[in-house]
Amino acid sequence: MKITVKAGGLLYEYLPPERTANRATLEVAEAATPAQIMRDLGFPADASYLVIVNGELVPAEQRAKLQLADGDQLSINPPLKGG
Amino acid sequence: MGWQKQILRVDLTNGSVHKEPLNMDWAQQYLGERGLATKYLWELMDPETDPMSPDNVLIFATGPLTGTMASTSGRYAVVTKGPLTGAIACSNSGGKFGAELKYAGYDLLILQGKAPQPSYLYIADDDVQIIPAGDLWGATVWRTEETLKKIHHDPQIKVASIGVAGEKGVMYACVINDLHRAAGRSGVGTVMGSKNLKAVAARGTKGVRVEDPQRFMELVKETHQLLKENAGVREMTELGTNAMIDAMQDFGGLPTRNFQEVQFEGTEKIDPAAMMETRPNGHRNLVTNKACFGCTIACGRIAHIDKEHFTIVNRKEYWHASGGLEYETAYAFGPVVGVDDIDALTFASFLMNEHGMDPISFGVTLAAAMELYETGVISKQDTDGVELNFGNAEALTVMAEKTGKFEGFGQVLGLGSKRMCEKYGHPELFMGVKGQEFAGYDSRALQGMGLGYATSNRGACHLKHDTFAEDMEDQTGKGKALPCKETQDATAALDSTGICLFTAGAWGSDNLARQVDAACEGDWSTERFVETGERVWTLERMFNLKAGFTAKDDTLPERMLNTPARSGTAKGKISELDKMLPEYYTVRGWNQDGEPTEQTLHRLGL
Repeated sequence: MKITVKAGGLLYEYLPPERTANRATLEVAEAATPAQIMRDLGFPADASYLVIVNGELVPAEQRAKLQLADGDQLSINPPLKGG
Repeated sequence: MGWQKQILRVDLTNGSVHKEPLNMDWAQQYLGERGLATKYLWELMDPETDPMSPDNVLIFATGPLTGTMASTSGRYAVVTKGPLTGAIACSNSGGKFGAELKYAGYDLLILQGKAPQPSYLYIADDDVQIIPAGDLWGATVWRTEETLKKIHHDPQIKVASIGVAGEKGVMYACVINDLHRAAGRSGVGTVMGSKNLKAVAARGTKGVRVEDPQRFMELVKETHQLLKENAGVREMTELGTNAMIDAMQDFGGLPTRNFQEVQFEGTEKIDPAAMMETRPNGHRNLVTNKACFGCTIACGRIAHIDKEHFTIVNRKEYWHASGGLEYETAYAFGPVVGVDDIDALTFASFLMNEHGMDPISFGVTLAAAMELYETGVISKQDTDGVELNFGNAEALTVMAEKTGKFEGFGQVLGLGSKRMCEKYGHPELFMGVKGQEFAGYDSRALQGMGLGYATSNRGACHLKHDTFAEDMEDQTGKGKALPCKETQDATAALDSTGICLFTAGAWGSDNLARQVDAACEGDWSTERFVETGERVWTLERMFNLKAGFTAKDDTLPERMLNTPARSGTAKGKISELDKMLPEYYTVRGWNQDGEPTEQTLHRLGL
């Protein structure tokens, strides 16, 4: 199945070279989870992220459980902070 | 050491200048900068004083680490009673001015009274003079700084000044130093103007000594490395704080069109990628990044405007590079007023620095005016013929200039959103707390932020606590009170050192306490350091209570409390402040009227 990944801030560096700006369309396994996809892309496991799927917030404990579907939009951003 | 152990007290009414020993008992209890200035303010003035009267006290305060080798050590704070809010105001700034004031030999500069004529203060080490401002009164911040360096034949002078906005009484005027760094919020520049004080020009050659130089430098090396290795710091260096705008858009916490919405369709036109994009005509908004004194982060953005853009096409004086968009300026001239023209946003940012105004308060006030206009409460007859619709880039820049020069409808915008909305009979359209406008985070999506806004001692503020981690994980009011309180205390301690808040992603209170301990006399454990922050926070609260604020003022606008977010991750949610606030008072050791208990005051030595 295919999903769209958007990676905010400097996290676009973890997207494959065929990315367009900070977005990429990925072919992933059926029922893949955000955690699996982030691990496969090489996102450091010890860092904090803001993860959103189809506009819904995905807390850290749900990221290895939530199964994605074809066409889903996965947004991965660095932690929110002030500025 | 760390401290210079000397303060400079200037009575502008009678022109007297006194150098006095720093009260070291207070320094040991309140550390420096924000904390120490709060203590002096508390001792020197009645909190019920009219903030625009000569009896208000204006304090420029450095911290014990200001001007040292510690990273980001350029900070100083301006502490006073704020005219925008009527509450204690504490606005800090970077650049180089703070370190220069410290090098001149002073921990604090205390300004009292009102000069009989417009004046500026010249400080060159021990030489301190109050000098008539002459033609500088009425000048922009930029011309003031340039002129003072010429007058005194010294390009190394560092200048903190106000523009016409501060002279004329725009309620959110800033003190600007080093051309585009600002002690920005609550109208500290308005107080300076009310004292007939145009500028402080400082030159210092004395340096700063620390208690244990070898240990201090080992810690400096260690903490520099922590910053270097931190992913968030690297992002601030490469993208600036505006990196936040895309995340906030995805999250649905980006205040749009006066907080009627929480997502903005135009973010990709004003985000860091847009700033770095080279256009067909070869123009690129971002020129470079810039660091403040001693900073190894360099989050500042230096930008320029396309010479073909309508704002500057025939105005060569704006063709140079200057302070560019940061997250809060991007928000305040972008989503909250519905504008997505990056050149217009950058021009508005220039105008804020040139005339000395807080971009957050200006932008949110303009947003309320736009809502008043679109709902027919005001018309072109009120707005000098300008169509004040959301999204109108020309209206943004025209009104920024009118407000900076205190002309026409700009005088109304200069009141701030609360007073302006009350003037037109719609107080519900004011988006802020205690008279101060919200920063770029919506309280319905970020519940902990809402609690922080409601309880911030200087009115709505995003920089006095840090519950971002909790807000990212859970969008209810649960579990927000304790981290809000703890980070308010930790931030108050950090703000009392002379160090920038942007180290907080890489340094904990332990890193700061160890540097303070190596620099200063006294055993500064992490526990003592954080308790100092709690003491500072509580004394600020006591100031506000004595100024007339009550628990009823710890609230949010009806729009946050009753109108659900329309989209984003918090779609359908409202702020749960009613659940968070009682818990917050409890964890603070305050009663449910928001007053510190005797036991809490005793524990903190207050």
